[in-house]
Amino acid sequence: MWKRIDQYLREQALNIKREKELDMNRRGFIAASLGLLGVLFLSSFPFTARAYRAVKQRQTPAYRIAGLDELQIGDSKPFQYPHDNEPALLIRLSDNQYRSYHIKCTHLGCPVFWDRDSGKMKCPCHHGFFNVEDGSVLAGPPQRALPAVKLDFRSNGIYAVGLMPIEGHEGV
Amino acid sequence: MRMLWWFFIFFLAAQMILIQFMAEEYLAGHHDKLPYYSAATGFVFVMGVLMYLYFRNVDDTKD
Repeated sequence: MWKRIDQYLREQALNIKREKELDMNRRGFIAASLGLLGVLFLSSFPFTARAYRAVKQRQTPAYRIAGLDELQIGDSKPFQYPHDNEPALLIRLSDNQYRSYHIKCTHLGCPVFWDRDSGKMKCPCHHGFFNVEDGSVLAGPPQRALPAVKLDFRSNGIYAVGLMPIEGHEGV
Repeated sequence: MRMLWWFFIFFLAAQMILIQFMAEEYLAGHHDKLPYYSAATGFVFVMGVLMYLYFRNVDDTKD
């Protein structure tokens, strides 16, 4: 009786079963980690596939803004790109220099306009000023630059073909 | 094989850091950078395979 209890307690306390112990030597560990490296590599595929799909969905068709000589130097032309609720502006700075930005102010969304006399883009609501060269903030309450529209010059006009990533906001 | 063990510890650490960075880039929406991370994890995996084959050959020769 006492012997059986003692045996039972030993089994419970020292439950090391030598015959069932995992045979994990150095070579086994290395083979297992090689498998893990492969699994981690494979697990990166769905990320990439999903990312490609997102990039593909974000691609927008080209939109013709204006003819090649439609704008005089210093003129601007508003348009909507890539959707109807996203107003943008094309500005001609010199013979072959054009700039295009979304004109929703990055402060509270008022429409920014091109002030030809001062050579800056202005937000009339809270006096925000943007640099026309790169869309960066010059003064006022806005903290972020205006998103720039990518332009493509074709034989029959100037086209908007996408949006330029903003530093630090590439995917947003 | 002892040296290979250390190599593999390094590979595992590198791979996990790469996957973690990849997840962060994905969540941040920086999708254009993800293929580079995927290629990097593939590179680590291929290096692991080559290392394993090499050291196994060395081991067999020693035996």
